[in-house]
Amino acid sequence: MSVLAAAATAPSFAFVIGDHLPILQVIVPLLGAVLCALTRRGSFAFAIAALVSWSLLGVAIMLLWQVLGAAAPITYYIGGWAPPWGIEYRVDALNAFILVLVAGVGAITIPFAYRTVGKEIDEDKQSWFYALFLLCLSGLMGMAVTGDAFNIFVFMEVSSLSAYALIAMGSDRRALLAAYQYLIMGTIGATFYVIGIGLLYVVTGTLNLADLATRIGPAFGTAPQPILAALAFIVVGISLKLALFPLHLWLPNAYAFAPTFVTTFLAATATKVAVYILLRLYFTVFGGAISLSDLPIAEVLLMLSIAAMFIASILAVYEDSVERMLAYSSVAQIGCITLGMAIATRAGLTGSIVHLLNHAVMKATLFMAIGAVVYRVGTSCMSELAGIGRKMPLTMGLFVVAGLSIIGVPGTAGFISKWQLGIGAVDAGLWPLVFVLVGSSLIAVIYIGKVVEVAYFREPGDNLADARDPPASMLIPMALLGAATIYFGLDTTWSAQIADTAAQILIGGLK
Amino acid sequence: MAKGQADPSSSLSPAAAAAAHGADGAKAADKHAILGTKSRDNIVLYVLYAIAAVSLIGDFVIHRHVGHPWEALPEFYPLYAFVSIIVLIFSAKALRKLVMRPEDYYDD
Amino acid sequence: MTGNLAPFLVFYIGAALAALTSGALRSALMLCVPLAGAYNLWTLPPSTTLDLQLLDYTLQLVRADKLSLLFAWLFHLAAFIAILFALHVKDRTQAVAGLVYAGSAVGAVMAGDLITLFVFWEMLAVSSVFFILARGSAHSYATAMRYLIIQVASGVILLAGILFHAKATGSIAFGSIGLPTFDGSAAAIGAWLILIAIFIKAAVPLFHNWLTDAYPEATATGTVFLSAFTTKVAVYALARGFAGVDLLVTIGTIMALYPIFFAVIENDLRRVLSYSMMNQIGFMIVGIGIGTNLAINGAVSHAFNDVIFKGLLFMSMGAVLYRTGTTKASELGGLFRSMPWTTTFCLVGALSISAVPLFSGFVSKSMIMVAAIEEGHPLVWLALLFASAGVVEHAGIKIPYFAFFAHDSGQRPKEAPLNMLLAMGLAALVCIFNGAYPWILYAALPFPVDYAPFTFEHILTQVQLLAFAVLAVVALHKSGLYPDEIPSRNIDAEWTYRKALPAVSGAVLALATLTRRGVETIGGKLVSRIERELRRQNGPEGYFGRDWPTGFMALWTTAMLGAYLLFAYL
Repeated sequence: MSVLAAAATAPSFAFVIGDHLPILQVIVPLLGAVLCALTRRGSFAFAIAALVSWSLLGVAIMLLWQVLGAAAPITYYIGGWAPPWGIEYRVDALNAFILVLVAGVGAITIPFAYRTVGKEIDEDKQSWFYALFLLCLSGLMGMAVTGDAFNIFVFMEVSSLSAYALIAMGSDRRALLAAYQYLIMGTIGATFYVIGIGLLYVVTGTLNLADLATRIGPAFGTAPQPILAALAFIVVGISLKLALFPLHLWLPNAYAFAPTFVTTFLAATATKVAVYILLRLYFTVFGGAISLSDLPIAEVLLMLSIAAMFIASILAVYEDSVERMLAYSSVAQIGCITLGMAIATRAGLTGSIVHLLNHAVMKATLFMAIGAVVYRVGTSCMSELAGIGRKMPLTMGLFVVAGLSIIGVPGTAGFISKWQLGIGAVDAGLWPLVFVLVGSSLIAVIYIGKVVEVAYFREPGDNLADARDPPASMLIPMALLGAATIYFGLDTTWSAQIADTAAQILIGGLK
Repeated sequence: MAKGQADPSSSLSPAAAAAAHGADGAKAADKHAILGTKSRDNIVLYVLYAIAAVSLIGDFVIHRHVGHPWEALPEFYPLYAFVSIIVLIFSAKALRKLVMRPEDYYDD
Repeated sequence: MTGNLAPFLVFYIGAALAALTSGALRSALMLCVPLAGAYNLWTLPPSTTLDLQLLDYTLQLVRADKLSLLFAWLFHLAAFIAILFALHVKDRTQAVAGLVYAGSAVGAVMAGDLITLFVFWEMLAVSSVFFILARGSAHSYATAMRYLIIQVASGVILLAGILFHAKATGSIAFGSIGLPTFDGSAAAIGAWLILIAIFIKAAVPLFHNWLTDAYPEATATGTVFLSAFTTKVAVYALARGFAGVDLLVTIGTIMALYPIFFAVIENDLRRVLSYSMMNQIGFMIVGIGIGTNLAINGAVSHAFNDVIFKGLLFMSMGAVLYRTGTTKASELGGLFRSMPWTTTFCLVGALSISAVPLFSGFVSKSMIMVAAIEEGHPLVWLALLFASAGVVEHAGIKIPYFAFFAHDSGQRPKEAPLNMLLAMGLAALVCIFNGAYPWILYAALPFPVDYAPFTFEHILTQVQLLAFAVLAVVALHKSGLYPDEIPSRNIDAEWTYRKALPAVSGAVLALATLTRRGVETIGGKLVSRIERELRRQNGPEGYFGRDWPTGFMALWTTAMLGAYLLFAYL
């Protein structure tokens, strides 16, 4: 709180606060969570959560601004302790981008929570809900901002534990089982991760990421196997967290049965931060120290990505529940992201990173749109939604816009990602991947087309008599992200260009 | 020129056709005449024959530029067109043996 | 862009308005759209472009040069005629789809870059499918889906090609692409993929069945729309990107020949016209492949004329379908008695497509023929001459003869509605005008025209060709050798995916089932018990789709870790 005290007296408030932006990313939502937990009224807790989310976005944008203007990554020592003794927060273009992404999704979608939470969660649990949400947010921000391997684990647990609880609050009783499965799998993933970190600590004696990058190389010369084992544990552990096919099995149910807002938020952020961690550790920490070809990670990733893009897409085609369909679509899109990682060229990684953002934006729009349908109709089963497009024109209109982006139609964000990945594939000489990308887009045409057909080309049934577009608090976040889907498809200054900078950082560190 | 044909069946039973339309009165419209009456059909046919004959003579009156060696042949175009149609029709009839199926072939 | 809209936008705005209005207001509005579009196009400053920046590329949404403007004008004219023809139709979906479809065609030919082209390419596919769906039968639904899949696939192949092309050249501008020899380089792959995508859209033989499948299946008015735009956008794309590519001369020749045999024996007159359409596009592709100024002019002007006279023929058959409910030759005949105007207009279309002097086909097709012989393609020239005789047979004689003359079917349908007659009349007028006074069309062609169509020699040889082609038909007819119209379905290349492929996959499935049964009997009850047990535990759904027990998920994780560790310690 010394920051606030300084604000009262010091004339250079902005300067002082500008020095502490990295820690604010974690502290603000953490304190917000505590405040929420102390309130008894849901609407009051909502107000706190909204204020926190919005100010967090402001902080994240300021940080990104600083990073883009700075020559070197911004470092911040917690409590003034320099590494390797203290914990270091280290922010470069890549994680500043992720921070803005997570905070942005949180800030834009939070108004959506007000109505849906009001409907889906009991009044006495609402303040806990918002407290958990802010905890989860702070965990995700922490994972992205920290430069310490063990600190990542701590924040991973913070975000995951709160996510399990949030999912379990779903009104469907199956949410409990889904949350339980997610808990088991998430814990296995986290355990694998921490085993990997432990192995690294044993051979290098440090947990600081930058330090690790310099020390792994010499250590590898004397004892290569523990380091390779650590790499294997970490990659598998995080693959679980990011729902890499076939480690995705926990995801469809978790997304389908969680409260609508939780699905929207987690789908847009949780897997994305996990991808970031994998990028960071794989490229910066290991890639900077040893030759990555010692383990066939890129090859395995490539195969699994392709499998994800096809099998998960086909599963999406056969789903009747739109929520589960979107969940499988997420698995397929994560396949696109890891595909760029497996290509491992600057263009490919740019595709991956920009797709983190683009996919977050469009999938959040889709989940909100279908959430609004559930809010009005009570189900997301296609068999019940005939003619919904005429009853909820704005909602389904936004669904179609984001759906076109999933397909990768030019003019939408999805096209930019697919194009970049395609260029990356041709660049790396892996040109058959172009057909993989295009093929999975074709399957997306089918599953999005199915929804469009049901929504627009059938007569509305009696069950939709009362269906209409949701209130503004739900519509506006949807419209904002829907507009962003188009915006990022037309102007890539804030998406692909930053992603390119981030990709250069990752590639530049490679040995 | 697109109508210069007679239905072959009309020559088979002119009496029956005339009987069927006997009530039509003086002009005796023929059901099988493609233009309503046989005389109209014949006019069209004669016009066609006349055009064909004039074009045959024209070949000797108007100088033709020769681009393809076969073009040097007198009456090349009439010959080529006539043979083309014969070849086309007969190969199409042969093609029928290969590809013709019942109308509901794909409906199962 | 000084106060002008992008040309495609006029149609898109019109479509939005058509969606909101109905009745006479919508009809009036729809007629105004191509007129407003024409005014917009007329006042468009020369060499207009509208650029947009995306990634490292420049998108050129609008490029107005001679080639794109000619096609844009053509599409405005065709849209007006088609809208007038469909004015009595009360279906909102078809009204909106028609405007979006026409606008997309205009957008596609005015696109200055490949990505914009791709967008309109797919818009053409999606908007046009409604004309087939609108028939409303289960049969037309299946046809529509086959059509849509092939059209969308064409777009997707185009996009893949664009990606390679952009990577190889660093630009997405849509200029001359050319066809390098296939050496596995990005440039070659890109060019070939783009070419294949265009081939699908142009209905080049073996990629053509969507056309002969879907066009006869669309509504009476829908086919008129369909016939005008999709394939001509492909012709434009070939002219823009692949002019002078030798392969096109061969492909075009095959395309001019292949369909005429099918046209002779086809019973559905709208399907005859579909084959005829391929045949005419074959002529255009030959012209584009030859690639000289004269040949390109010929191809482009023939595309212009073909849209109008083929549209006219499709309209006359549409009127027949509207009044009698069929276009099967075996069920028609003698309609000239009660539909004299439709008959007359159909004859004008027939004369035009047969390239009779003073009708529009003559002034454009002869340019391609002359270019073929002058540029040293004697065999191609002979083949095209053969194909020209074939056109006389199937489009010039067969269409009007079996529908309006031949043996009297006894049907006495009413004359077509006024709006249909006006539309046909307008198209007939354009056919005769362009045929008798081609200079305006010539002036709009991409290259200066140094060609005189009305020489004695041209007229003589054409009359000889036509007269004796007709004489041959008459002779065959009189001798009873002419093939009868038989209600039938002639299988074409679509047989591969509508019969052979399902049969093969059926056989594979049957074989798989057989093998599985064999295994079950050999493995005895054990195998089936395990399978039953697995199914009981895991629910009825598909393998990856069902809800897996947590332990199974953990197993996957362990397996993956184990695999990595194995590699690490090997």
